[in-house]
Amino acid sequence: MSKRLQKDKIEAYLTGQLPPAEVLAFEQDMAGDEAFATEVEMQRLEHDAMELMLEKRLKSRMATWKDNPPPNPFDEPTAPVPTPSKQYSWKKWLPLLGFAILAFSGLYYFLRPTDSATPPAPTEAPVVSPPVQPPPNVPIATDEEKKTTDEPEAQTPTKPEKPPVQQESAYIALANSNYDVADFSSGLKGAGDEKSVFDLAAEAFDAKQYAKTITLLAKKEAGNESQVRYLRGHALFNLKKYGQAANEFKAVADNEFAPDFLSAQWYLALSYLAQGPSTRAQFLKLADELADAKNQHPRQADAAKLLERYRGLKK
Amino acid sequence: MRSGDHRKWEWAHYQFLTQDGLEGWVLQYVKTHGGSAEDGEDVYQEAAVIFDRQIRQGRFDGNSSLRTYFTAIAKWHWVTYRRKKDPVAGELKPEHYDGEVSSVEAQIFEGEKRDLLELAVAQVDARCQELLQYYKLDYSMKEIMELLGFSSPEMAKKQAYRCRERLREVFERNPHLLKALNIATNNE
Repeated sequence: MSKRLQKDKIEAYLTGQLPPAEVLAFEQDMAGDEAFATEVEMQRLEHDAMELMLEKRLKSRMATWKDNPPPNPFDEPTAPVPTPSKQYSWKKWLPLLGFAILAFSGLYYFLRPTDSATPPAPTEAPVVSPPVQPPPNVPIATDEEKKTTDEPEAQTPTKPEKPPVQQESAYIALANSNYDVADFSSGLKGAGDEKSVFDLAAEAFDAKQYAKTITLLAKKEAGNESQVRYLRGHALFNLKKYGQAANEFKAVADNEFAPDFLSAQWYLALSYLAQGPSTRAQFLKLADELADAKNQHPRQADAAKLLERYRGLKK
Repeated sequence: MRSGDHRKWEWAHYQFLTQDGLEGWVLQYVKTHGGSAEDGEDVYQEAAVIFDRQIRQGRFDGNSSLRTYFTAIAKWHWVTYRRKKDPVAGELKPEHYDGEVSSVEAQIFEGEKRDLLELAVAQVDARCQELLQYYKLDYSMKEIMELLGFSSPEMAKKQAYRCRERLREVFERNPHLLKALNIATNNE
């Protein structure tokens, strides 16, 4: 066997690519030929060294993540293959049309009243881009809860949304007393840097401009989907649209790769709680999971306390 | 996470490893089991490395969540880390590991071998190191050619071969390394 061929065969063995039928013969050769066995060990050592290089690379990358997160490769626009001869001429106007829509949206945004002083205008509801499913058990909710939790939009398409009621239900009060969220905009770019749409949305959220937050997050360029949905969930929660907030948090909580997926589970539980008896089962199931020490959830202690207080309410 | 694209590889690791509470959980676990915050940091980093290798080598079977898998690796690694630091206090007890973790155990470098390999790797130039990393991540020669600016995939392959030869030379120049690893060579 030539040296190169032997090297390739050893490589296949070490990387697990040697057909099972050949592995036994290979190992028998190793056992009977010391020089061959040494060659295998040397090549294994090369792989170990390469593994070590990868370890160092991962560690050095991890060290930079805090200040310099890696760019999201999935956010990069997939450049369409330019085929000018086949393109219809009207397509050339699409960017201009997009710009005009954005300009009108911007104009509308600046001309309407800010949300921090007034309840959200009903026309803002369609800005929430993902389709919203009504909470499954809404009809079971008491009249008071129906006033305070968000209602399926289809039921009130033309009427302005009711202002938040003065007296919140005990469920909402309990959910709100457990609701705490860090500033989203801290650690973002400074004033001199160009801010992303997400940065602006985070700033709006921290300034308690929740409807503005949602408007900004509806933009296509708002950023990573899970981050957008997580922040939108918070904005909706603060607007007392608990059902819609639950939808957003659920999407994040179901995505194990989302950076905020564990936090989203906690806020999903609070969103269920705030909806009262209509989502009682979902709340109890999730809160029980979070409170279970075996799951090692970072909010385990909070969830246990929440359940205790919830059960106190029921008494 | 097993992606050959280094940007996707890094992004997936970033998304997973910086997820809410993961590092905090490891630090807390180490602290409540007699370690310091510094130990916790070390264990978290090493667990990340072992986790990456397990995923790349297809050893994660999907029977648990990735988070559970990671925490099992971290728990097990804390036991070995502690045992290394303090052999008496770091006694391995059944509650420290489970079946999943014991399969990880077989995969890590022994400490001494690791130190010696570190010495050897340090003697290979940065470009070769980069090339060998891509090679180990299963990049095709065409991809390596594009990333490192070779004129053809064949040139990239030749260079990969040379880089491995260089590594081999470093090993052979360090008989104490081979001796420590119980490898006999013709040079001895």
